[in-house]
Amino acid sequence: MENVPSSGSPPSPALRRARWFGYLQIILMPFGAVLAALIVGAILIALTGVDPLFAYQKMWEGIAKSNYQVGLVLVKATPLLIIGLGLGFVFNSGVFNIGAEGQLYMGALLGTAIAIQNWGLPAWLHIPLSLLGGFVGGGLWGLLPGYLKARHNINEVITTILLNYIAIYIVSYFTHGPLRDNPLAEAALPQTPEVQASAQLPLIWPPTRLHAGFLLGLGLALTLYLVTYRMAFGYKARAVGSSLAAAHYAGMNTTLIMVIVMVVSGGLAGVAGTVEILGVQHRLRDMFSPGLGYSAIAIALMGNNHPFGILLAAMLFGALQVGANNMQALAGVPVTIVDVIQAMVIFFVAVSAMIRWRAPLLSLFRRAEEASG
Amino acid sequence: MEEVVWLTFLVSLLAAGVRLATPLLFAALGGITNELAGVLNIGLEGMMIAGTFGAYIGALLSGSEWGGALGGMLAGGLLGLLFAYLSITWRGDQVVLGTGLNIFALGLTSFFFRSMYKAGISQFVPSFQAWNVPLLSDIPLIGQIFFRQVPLVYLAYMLIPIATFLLYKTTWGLKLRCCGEHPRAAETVGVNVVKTRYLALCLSGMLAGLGGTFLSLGQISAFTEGLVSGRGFIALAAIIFGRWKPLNVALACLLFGVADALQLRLQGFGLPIRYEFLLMFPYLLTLVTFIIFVNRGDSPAGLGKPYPEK
Repeated sequence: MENVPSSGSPPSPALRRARWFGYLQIILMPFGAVLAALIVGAILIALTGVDPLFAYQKMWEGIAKSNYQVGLVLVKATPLLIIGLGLGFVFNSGVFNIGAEGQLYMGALLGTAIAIQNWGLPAWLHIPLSLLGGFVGGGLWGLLPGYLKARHNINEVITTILLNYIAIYIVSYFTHGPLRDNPLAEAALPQTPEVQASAQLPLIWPPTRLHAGFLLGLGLALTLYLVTYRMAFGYKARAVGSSLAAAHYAGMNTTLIMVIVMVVSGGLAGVAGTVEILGVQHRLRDMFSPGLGYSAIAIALMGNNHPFGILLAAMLFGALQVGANNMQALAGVPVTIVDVIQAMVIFFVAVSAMIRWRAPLLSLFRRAEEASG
Repeated sequence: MEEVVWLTFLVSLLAAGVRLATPLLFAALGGITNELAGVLNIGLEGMMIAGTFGAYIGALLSGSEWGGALGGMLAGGLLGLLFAYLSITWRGDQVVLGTGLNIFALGLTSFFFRSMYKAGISQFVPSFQAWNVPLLSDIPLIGQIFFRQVPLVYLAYMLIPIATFLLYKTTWGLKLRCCGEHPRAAETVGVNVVKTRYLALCLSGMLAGLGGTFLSLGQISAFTEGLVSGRGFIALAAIIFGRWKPLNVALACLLFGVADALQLRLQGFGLPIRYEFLLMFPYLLTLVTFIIFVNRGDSPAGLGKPYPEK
């Protein structure tokens, strides 16, 4: 088992060195994946008749030309980070939740419903209450597929994806109906009223658009790291992922654990949706998410389901998104190239287990492990 | 008088149901093939998406809807090949890869489409026209429901007995199902599991591509983003609902097709139900039937597991 410090004698220098190589490889692999994806992306861009170097130059300028843009990168990274943390958590337990998109919508719905109420609450109460609403909304949307998976072994991939479509229509109903802003006006858009000032997340790096949701994301990353790697529950959750039968045999309540990780994962997606409304959009709109819940799958996988890896991956994809917007405006390359890059990262990560197995560095690592014990 | 109105309504509903079941049917028949061979293909949706765009390009370049069908099959088949390469040769996790494939197809088609048309509106291309089957289309009711459709519909329904025969009555089908039930046993009697699974995935991609073709060239003669919107997953649910038997799976597809036709018609009825709930109905129905029917336990035993094991 990785990461478990061996009791007794300290590891031999050879083992330490090999472990270090192993970690290095785990860290380098995702970047190799992104690099490879960018190269394939360059070929695609060239196919459309645009000079890929020019396009990537515009992408880079979009990311780094000012503090404002850097702030924007972090703003884009924030929901990806929060959803990705939840997904990493649930993937560790061997449950493949691809319903984050629907959970995000349901969370944003409940969170916004609270945030638009004029209850005269102070911000320190109104913001957490709205975020809690987001967690509950997303968590409930994760509860059903989690329960069905854990109790009846019903494939969560199909149930969660169908629930995504249902959630999007539910939000569509509320933004066109009960929660619509000024429904009598002819030109009223399908959106809710603006959230109360007391529920808006404060900006933390003016004049950029960076809001307190990013700090929340950092806090959540640390919390999930502690839960996953330093607490008994996290150990159990990972045990369920590495062998369900063994975890069950060891006396763990695997059903309950799977349901809990699924609810937490859905809840975090819901929080991410609420953060996006309270921090950026300030109104819930019909179809407001450009597939954040799907992008976060790539982020969790690329981050190796580890909270800090997910943090890095989220910032990288936030940067790609901001850069791609600039690339679309100035080089005419459609932003959806980012989806292609994300998909290729998923491919590379999915097959990387095999690459690692073949790679010389890890075989060195394995040999040293075996030699030492 | 009342009865005539209802009969007309019923006939048009069922005719639309037969039509709307067609893309599901193509994809589901493809999905049966790869699942019986032991590969779980969550990427069916992506293969359909590729099919919608490939068909559009095919029709644009060849100036014929049959050229479009070829393009749709080619695009879907290529994704099947990619999936096979990553999941069989590189032994990647099939569920993760399938999800990646969906994102890949969505992103890639949208990327090429938006590169071609900056305004996001495609031109019209040759599309399939309804073709009344001689004699059969004159049968009252039945003729109106089944035999006044576009040729792709007939093709899809003809594939039901063909698939049943190939998969369940031939040696080839037996070998393919062996790869799904017990790949190692198949290998010991001389079946090339890797080759069989590659072939199954390519076939599956081509069929799903035809399903996509129907969406862009059988209904609207153009391409827009979001044409597939979950039909690949509905097809996956139909496979499980129909227990991997082409005829039963086709009936499940018909059920979902009629449900879709029903919600489309109810939207025009001015019922006191919001249209968002009507749009939701096919997905909800799929979810409920999936939950009820999923665990009967006769799925291929080797489904989703890479081979060779190490």
